[in-house]
Amino acid sequence: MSSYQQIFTQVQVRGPFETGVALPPEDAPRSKDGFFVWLAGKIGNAQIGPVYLGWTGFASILFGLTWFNIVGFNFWAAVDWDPAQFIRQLFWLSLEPPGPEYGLSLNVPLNEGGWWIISSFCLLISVMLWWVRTYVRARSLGLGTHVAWAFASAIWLFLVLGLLRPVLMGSWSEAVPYGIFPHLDWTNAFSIRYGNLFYNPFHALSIVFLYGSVLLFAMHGATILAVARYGGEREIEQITDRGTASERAALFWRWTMGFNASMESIHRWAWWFAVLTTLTGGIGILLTGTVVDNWYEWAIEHHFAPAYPEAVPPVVDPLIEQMVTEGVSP
Amino acid sequence: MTTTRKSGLALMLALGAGLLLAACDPNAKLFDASAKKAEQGGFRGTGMAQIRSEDALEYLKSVNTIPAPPYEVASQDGPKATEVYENIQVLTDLSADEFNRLMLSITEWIVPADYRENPDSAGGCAYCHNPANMASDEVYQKGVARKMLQMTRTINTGWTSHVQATGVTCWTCHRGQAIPAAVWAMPEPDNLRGNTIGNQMGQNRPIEAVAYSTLPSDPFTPYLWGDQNIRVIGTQALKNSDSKASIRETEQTTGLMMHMSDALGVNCAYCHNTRSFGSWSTSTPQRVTAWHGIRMVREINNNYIEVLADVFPASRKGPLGDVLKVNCTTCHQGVYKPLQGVSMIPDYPELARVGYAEPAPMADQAFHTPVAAAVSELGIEWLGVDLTDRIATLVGTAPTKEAKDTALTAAEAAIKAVPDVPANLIVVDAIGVEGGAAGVGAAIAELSNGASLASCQKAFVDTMAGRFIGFDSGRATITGDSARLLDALSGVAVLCSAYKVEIGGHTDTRGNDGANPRLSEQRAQAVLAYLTGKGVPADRLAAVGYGEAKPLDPADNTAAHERNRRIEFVVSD
Repeated sequence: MSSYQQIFTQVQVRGPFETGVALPPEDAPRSKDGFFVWLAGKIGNAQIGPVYLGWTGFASILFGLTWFNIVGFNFWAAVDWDPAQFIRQLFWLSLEPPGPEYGLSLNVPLNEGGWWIISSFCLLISVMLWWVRTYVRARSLGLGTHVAWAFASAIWLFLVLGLLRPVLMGSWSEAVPYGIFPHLDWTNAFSIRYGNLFYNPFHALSIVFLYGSVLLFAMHGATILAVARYGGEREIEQITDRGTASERAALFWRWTMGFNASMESIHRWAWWFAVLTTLTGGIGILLTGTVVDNWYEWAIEHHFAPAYPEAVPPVVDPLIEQMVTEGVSP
Repeated sequence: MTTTRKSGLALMLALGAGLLLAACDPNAKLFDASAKKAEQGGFRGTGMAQIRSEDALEYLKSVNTIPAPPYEVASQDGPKATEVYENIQVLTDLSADEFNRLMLSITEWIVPADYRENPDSAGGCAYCHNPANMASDEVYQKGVARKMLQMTRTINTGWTSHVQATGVTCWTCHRGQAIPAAVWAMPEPDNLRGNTIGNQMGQNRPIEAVAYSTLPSDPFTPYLWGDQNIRVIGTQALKNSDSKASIRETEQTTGLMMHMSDALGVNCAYCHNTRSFGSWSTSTPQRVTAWHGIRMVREINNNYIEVLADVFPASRKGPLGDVLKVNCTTCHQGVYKPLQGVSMIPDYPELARVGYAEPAPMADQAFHTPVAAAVSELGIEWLGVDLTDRIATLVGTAPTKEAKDTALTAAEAAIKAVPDVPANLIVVDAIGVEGGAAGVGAAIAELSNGASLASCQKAFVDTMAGRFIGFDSGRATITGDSARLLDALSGVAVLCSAYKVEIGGHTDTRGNDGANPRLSEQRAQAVLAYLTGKGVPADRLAAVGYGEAKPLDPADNTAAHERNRRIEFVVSD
């Protein structure tokens, strides 16, 4: 007999086309049709659609595509419309924010960062409308709004990086460029400029929650897969019964490490860890440059950085030596 | 059956991934852990490591070879080159024997082998000379060679802070080629700037100069030709008036650092502390060497290469018409000590000979009279100057604080403007204000009747009484307003150089027990550096960090902390 596995399943979950519950009369209609995809059925539900687009979804995708196209055409123009070079240099190309000389001006020539401002505005609208969509759709289905608030935490970090911090610093040039390697080199330069982000305690917290999220995700995923033979994916309904997948999973952790989350609380653990990753990360970025100028010096002053024995004799800044030799006060 | 198939699949996947990775890199040995060497240079766990591939080291060893000299070092005695040959302009202090030998080597170092083998080239001499008249100057390469010889001697005698005693010769860069393998000129600007779309703002291109990062594509023009500020990292914990550098500037600096890393075959931790790239007190000594190197390259590019702009033909220039210039790779070529640190100077001592065309040193104290005249020319009645050794003590009683400050600034400028005044002349402020405080250097007068151990100790104590050498909080950087005090202390130290002076650093009782002794020592060392910079003999000075071990006042309040944070000078025989 074939059995159902959660991932790379041998059995396709494919019933008659499921249209879902009726929408309230004030809502826009869903797309009428959907279809089945065999490959989708290998990793989840084979049915694709119907999709509820609505005006928020439509506008969000429209603005999102506008951002994507502005960035993409800037990339392509940068290689003189050569498709081969577009592929070759794709990871290097970027749409850069305006230079420091423009401050927070909106009157920036298109090719000096104007494209970045326009596209960023489109991306902002797109992301915000998608958030509205996650909120409204959850409400229409009678759900809690946990997804919307978790998404809001990610949007917080996005806003800090691209809008709030640049505004507080008084310059669009502080924002992150849109490019694969360029945003990584930006991150590196950001950490160097502000004296090593390693010593930013909010950065540390963010990493704790990021790695913690990964660990929880792996533990929970593994636990549920391990009890799949007892129908473990039906987590919640089994909570009160003896000998269920749910109880076995709980006992496994209690016997392994003395404590077990409950089938309900493990999802709160995961939700909070994920939400706190970007929440603390955003705080850390927002404080950098606006309040703290050198995190290493900050950490030394606040005894957050440990003192290590010297391995080499300390050196003196040659600029100070040169200044005193030339009689300039250091 | 299923189990076997599954483990077989897993094995194949693992092998496949390994092969795929190996196939990505032409040097598959990079994946062999035994071929890598990690050298720890710091305390465990701090990541102060250099990782080197032994294959790469072997390769670099094989390409960094040195040609044997043509024959034994020639005698400096005998007839001078200027007596034997005509039109010698640079190597005027060489004997004819030395000159001939050097010319032979230079030909091998610089003139390409196929040119030398050509029978019309007079053994390669024709690359710079007219074989029919060796003294004439019509071949432009000769003018270049003269400038380069001056440059080589300046590097070997004036830039020992970077090249140390190892020095350089033409071979260090040229390696048998007329144009060294690694040179640079300004790149063509991004022609997309004038368009309406696609501007990459001078960065985001896969180019070698910045080690294929997306950092600004020309890391050389601003820093190795111009003197744009490299320091971008904040120096204090919190935002302050010096917090100016943008992320763009940081990316430019990082581009230069990528070049240096690439040129020397090292990673960041070769010079910088992994914990704080900006902090000097925790950097390695190599960072100081590199700092001087950047300034050396600037001098080379400005004073020895760009000055030849009218001499070089267009084929020796970049797309924008500037001359091909040097960067770190020009000499280093992938190793942190060019030519593996082997010095060629023992074979060519004439390239590092000091004293050729150096101006005669000025007679001791000959500047006293013009300095005194310059001060009296200011026409300030109450102002006088006492000159001892190379210390100019400004004395007198000013009617107001403002009058004193004005007079001090004017007198200092006037003294500095005197021609041939020694660079390490110390101007000490001993000017009092009517009804106010005495000058910071007033105690120097105590030494006018000769410096005894007791009078020296008293002069230090009196100079420091009620005064502080200011440091940035938590750092060993001396604040600017302490310069007058340090100058006065330097004056005392010069007059007392018959004795040893211990500079003791003390911190208050707060703060990290581990960091305090270190910080106090660094602060004492910063003071020591200031004093030696003013010409106090370094062997008479010692810097000791006592941390919080010797508080003057053990109380835990602000006043006590302020008294305890101090620098003390202890004079001994």
